[in-house]
Amino acid sequence: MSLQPPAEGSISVEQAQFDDEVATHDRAERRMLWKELGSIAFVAVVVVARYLWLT
Amino acid sequence: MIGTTIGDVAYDTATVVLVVLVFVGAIPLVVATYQFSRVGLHRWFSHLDKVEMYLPRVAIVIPAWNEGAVLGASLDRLLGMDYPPESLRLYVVDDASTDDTPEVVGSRILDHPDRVLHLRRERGGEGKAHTLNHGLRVVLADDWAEAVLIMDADVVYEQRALRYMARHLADPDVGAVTAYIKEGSEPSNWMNKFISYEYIAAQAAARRGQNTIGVLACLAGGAQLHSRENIEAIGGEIDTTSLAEDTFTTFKTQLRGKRVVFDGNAIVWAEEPNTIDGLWKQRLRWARGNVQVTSRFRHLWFRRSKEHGLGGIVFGLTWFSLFLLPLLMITSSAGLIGLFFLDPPSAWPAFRLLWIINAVSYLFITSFTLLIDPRTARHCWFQAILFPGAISLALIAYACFPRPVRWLVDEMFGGAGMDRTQLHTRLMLLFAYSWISLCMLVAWAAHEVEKRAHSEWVRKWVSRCFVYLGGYGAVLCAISFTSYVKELRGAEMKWDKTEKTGKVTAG
Repeated sequence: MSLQPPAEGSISVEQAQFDDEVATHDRAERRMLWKELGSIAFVAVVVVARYLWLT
Repeated sequence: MIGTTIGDVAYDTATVVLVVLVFVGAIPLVVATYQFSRVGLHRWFSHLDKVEMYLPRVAIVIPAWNEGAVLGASLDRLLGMDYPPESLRLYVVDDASTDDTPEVVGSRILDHPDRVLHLRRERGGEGKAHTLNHGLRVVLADDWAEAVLIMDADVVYEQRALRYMARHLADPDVGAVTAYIKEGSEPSNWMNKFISYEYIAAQAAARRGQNTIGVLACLAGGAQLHSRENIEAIGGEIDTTSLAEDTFTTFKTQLRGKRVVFDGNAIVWAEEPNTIDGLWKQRLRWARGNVQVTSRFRHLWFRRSKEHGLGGIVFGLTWFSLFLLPLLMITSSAGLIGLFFLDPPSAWPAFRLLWIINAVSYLFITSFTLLIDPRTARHCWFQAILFPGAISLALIAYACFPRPVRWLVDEMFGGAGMDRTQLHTRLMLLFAYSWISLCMLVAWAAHEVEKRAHSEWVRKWVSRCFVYLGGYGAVLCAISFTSYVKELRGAEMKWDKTEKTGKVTAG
């Protein structure tokens, strides 16, 4: 990353990078919900498979 | 007639009490599952909405006692971090080291005279907290620092880790921030891999869960960034009377109504123990510290407060289900053994339900933990699966699939030219019902074998085999149990420093 002085009236490069990082981390945190739902689905499949196998 | 009735009532009451004791063992499983189930909601409680670009002047305090082997790499990494150089000062507090620590620091001072400071304590050996306090006194003596990063000498920071931590301090409600510490030994052995998995579960997952309830149990000792205001408000020093100075700092910060935040994107790497004995010493210190914290803050457990969340029910359950885990396990197996002798028909369904709860919790937590940090999971998936131990996995299989397991056992008996008798069955059931406690004895035996066996082969392989059979979790429980005993006996508080060799690579 190069730290350039911001041009007048423009958003600084650093601020833009900061916003980009927060957006990336925001997406990563949102993915946690999908990962959790994936794990719950996995457990549900195992439980249902066990139940079907039993019957 | 009346005697018979009283006898029946006593029998029924005893059976109910024993069933309740059995399901006391399910409390930690339910609490852990609940804590992990909150991780998916972390985005909405992650504090990311309130961060701003904020690059305060940071004083990094690094306690160092004979850290020559690891300190150079840490300092170089810190000096090369993506952070404005003029806003970063490193205070190495040399605790009367007798190795080449002063020379390592001196060489960095030559290159960065304005950014690296060497604070030498001539009388050392009092422990990390005293060493840190020496550095904090110097840092707080002038008004340069706006924030203080407390870390361990061996911890290697990723390039932007400090930036990620600092942004949370833009919110005046936040007193301190902690990072995600990952096991970074290269090459790593089986023990390092168990710890790698444990750290995903205990940090990347559990601390996200704690973020969502607004209370953190502990700031990692190797990566805690405080606002200057917070450090001064908690007295300008670290607690020196316990072995859990990090947890004391965490509690004191939250007691004054400030938030403590975990940022899972700020990653730092540390070298963790690679032997059972190394792990035992490190965790015994932590576990004894937790006993001291539990006792010292006894006035706040389960007492709601408007100022802080430490007295909340969820946090209390989270804390005590881990703190009392060995006792809960012993209680649970005592209940099962009691039922086995008093009311055998009730013992089997109670055992089965307990272990089915265990199975569901294990499947959810293990699969989710591996998904949270897939990069780390790639090299520790085997230890993740065997975290509860092979025998516990067999019991999970027995509880979920009793008929095929019985058939398999009969085949094994047949293969050995024997018939499974009633006595065999009763002994096997008794073993299964006792296992929740017995696994801690196996873990304790693993440690003893590693420490005392004369043969290198036995030390290395038999102890490892015990851990894989009994489970890494059982090792942690055995250590917690030992910590109760040590604290009850008032054993001397020794600062057993974890041996570091400088084999950490950042990612």
